[in-house]
Amino acid sequence: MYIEVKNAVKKYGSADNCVYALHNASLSVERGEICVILGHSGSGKSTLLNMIGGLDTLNSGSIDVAGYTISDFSSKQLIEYRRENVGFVFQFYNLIPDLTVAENIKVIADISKEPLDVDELLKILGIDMLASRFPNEISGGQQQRVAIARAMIKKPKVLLCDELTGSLDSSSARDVLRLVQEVNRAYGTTILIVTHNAEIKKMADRYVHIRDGKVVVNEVQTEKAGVTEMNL
Amino acid sequence: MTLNRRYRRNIKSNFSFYLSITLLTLLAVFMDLLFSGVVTGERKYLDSFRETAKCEDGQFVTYQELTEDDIERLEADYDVVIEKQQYFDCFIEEDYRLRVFSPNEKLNDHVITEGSDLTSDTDILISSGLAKARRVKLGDKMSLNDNDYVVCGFFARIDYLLMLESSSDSISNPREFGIAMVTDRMFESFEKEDVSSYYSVTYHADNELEFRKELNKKYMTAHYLPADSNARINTVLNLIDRYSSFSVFILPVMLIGIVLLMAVIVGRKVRSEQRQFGVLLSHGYRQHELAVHYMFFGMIPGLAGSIFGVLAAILSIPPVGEVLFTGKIEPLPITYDIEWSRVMIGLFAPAIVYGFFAWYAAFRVMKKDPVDMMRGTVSEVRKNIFRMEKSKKSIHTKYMLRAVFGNMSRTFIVILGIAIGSMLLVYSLVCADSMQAYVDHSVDEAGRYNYLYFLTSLQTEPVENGVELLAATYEIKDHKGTLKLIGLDDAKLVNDETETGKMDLSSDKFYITSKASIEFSVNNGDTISLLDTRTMEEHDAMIAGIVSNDSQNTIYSSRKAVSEIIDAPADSYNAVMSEVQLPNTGSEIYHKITMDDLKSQIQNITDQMNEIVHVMLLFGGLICVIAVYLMVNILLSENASTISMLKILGLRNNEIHRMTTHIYHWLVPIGIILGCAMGYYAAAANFKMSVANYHVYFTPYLKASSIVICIAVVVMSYIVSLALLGRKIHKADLTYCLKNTNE
Repeated sequence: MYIEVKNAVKKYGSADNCVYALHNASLSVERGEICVILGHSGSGKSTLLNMIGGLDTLNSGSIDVAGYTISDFSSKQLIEYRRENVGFVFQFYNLIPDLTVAENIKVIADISKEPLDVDELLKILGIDMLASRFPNEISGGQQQRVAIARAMIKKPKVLLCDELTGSLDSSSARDVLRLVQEVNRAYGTTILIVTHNAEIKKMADRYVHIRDGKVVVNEVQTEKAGVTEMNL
Repeated sequence: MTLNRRYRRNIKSNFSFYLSITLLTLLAVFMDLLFSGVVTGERKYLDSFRETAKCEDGQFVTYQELTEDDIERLEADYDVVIEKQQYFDCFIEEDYRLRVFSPNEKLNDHVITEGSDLTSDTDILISSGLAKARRVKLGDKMSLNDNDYVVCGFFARIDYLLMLESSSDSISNPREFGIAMVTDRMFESFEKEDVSSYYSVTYHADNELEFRKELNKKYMTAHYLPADSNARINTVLNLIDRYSSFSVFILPVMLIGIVLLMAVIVGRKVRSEQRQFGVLLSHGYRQHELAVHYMFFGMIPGLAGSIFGVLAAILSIPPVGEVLFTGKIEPLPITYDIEWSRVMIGLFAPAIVYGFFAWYAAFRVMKKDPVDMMRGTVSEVRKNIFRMEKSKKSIHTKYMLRAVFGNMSRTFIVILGIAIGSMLLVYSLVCADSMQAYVDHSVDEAGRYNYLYFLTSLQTEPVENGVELLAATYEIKDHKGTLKLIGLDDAKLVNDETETGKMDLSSDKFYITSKASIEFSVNNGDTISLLDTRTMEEHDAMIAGIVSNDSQNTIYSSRKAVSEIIDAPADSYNAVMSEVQLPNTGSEIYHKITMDDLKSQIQNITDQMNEIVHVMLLFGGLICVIAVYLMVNILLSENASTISMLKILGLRNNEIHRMTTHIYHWLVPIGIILGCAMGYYAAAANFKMSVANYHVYFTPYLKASSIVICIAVVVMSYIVSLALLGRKIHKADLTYCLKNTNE
């Protein structure tokens, strides 16, 4: 397994007021798969994604990604892990407001060992005409494309998307998801998409359902639907 | 690095914030370097001049003249240098008086400020202050004692830095009095009976006491004036000391205070970038890479302010030095050297401190969870404490309590910022008010007489319309400076109020003035050792009370007690104090002081300080305005997302302000009260510490009108800043604000 989460526990608060964000959650994903993680708000899906991305640490359990047991990593090792292996796309894009579109991507290219060509990537993602615009000058869908470009510029082994269509209209959402599929095909990137939109699971190789911090479904999907067939 | 392109853009989009930091740094560095540069330059020049010109340590007159052999013997026995000083006073065209000297060989040498030294018997040197005041030019001709001279140069003598005709004068008038120098041969041609003389001495060993005792024993000292008490020499040094009390106390304190405040503010600005930290960390940026990146957000405004501050100071030192000293002392060819160590500190310290605070703030933020950073929830707000679930307070009150007490560091910084701004303004106002109060009260405290006559000899005949005094000048053991011991039996013309009641002159007790008590560190019940300036005999006096008088160094007692100390008959007197001018003011009068003289003397002391106080007032006011602006900037920028969100939700501007910004209004009076207290006590501490330098004691005083000025400046700055910055926030793109918040 390329990504393997075993009995992951993440709790907040002290003994009396303890809240479990993850409660013995287990999950496995193969290399190159698109895995959609579904669940209601507060089910723990974003927490799981953050754990896999090395943004947060577990209270117990383990997480292996691409041969690394990242749950044993120190905070410094986690930074290096993210630097080399992980790309993030967030619901609210989190672009840096005082950098242009191209610069938002270049800023990650600067710290990558073998980054993709920025201009080429902008062209592939259809945002080359926006290169010199600032984030506040483009639409939400365009911002999310930039966010994907920023995540992909370093050719990450794993692309983690947290509600990437949550702030988009259906047309923009479709464009973005199509883009994700293209990225997966072109670079063989393992992609995890956290969403509460069940339609998105149609494009997944694997879908996972989380409820109350536990993985209740972890299934491989043999027949995938195209983005156009989804009712976003 | 691409990331570094943010510097210019971030600074541009937060221009007023960075400009405020740059300006405050500039002002603090400028003020510190300016005054230290002026004071250091003046002191360095004068120290060098004193050394090269071999300035006297004292001057004396003896009843028995010293021969050349006597001088040689004393020099050999006591390792001293003695030189007879001779001068000739003459009127020039009944217009002004000129004191003519011949060149000295051993002591009190002169410096040529313009032109050339004496080369022929027709040459004459004129003191540069007189030349400037009377517009004398090089090559001008003048007639003196029936001889014609050509002005070959202008000069200054180390023992005439303040051009006083009499050593007991306090104010110079370079238009009416100056000194000149002619060759020895021409000086010899003056009538001997018109030539006056005295001796100057310098000590090379620690034997001043023995020398002066021997001098009095063998030659009967008529008068001895230590250089420390010689107004012609020490006035300029006192002036430098007065200015230096600003440069060694309040300005460095101001610099440190402003730099630390700015550093904390820069740190807060860096903390507000937590979303960017989260994003960049999640994408793999290392903590130290980001910390270094953000460090420059502090260093750039620090360095910009420092560079401009240093440049402005370097350019301003010579003209400001001229303004602060011109007209007060003789013009001197001073070249101001920059104190490079202080320049380096001024240039780099703010940038390093801001950079460090920004770096540290970045590291502190990055210790938190990147998820929290991206959510923008890395906050100090301890919401649990202010949950107030069961409280029936209004939402507005709860919000206010959470905003103010839930973020104590911000509240503290805002109060401190307003307090530091107010403090500098209040400090300057206290200086101005205290000096004015000093002028207003000192004359009353000095006494109710209009004339004070010092006589040439002891008298016993009673004086009508006057109070007889027995007065003598004493040095104080282990202290510099002198004080007057005055014996009187009737205190009706002096201020006799002490902290415990009126002076009791019937009991032979000693009372010291408040100024002398602070200058010589003497308190009620202490014993002070008085040294007779002529005989060097030591007399102890136990102080029974402190008389309110901040302008004079005096000890009062009964005539009987003083007569025992100065070894004079108990019924004798050598000075008279009177409300009216005495009719029989003949040749017996050695020196006369009028109350108008005293007023001018007191006014002169405060006038010397006025320029620097006005400069402080100007810069204090500017710093106050900028500091308040910066504090408002912090309050609004840290509430910007809340303000935008409230606007999105449909609240009107006044409703938003009532909810978000009005809750901070009451921090302003707290800041002002704190600033007033800090400014007042800083000025009080400075006056007390510097009394030995000032040679006056300013009782700290702050007028109600000054408090009103301070409140008006701070409140106006606050209101204008709120209006300016509030407008900027209301113009923000709300859809963008909405897109950029996930709270």
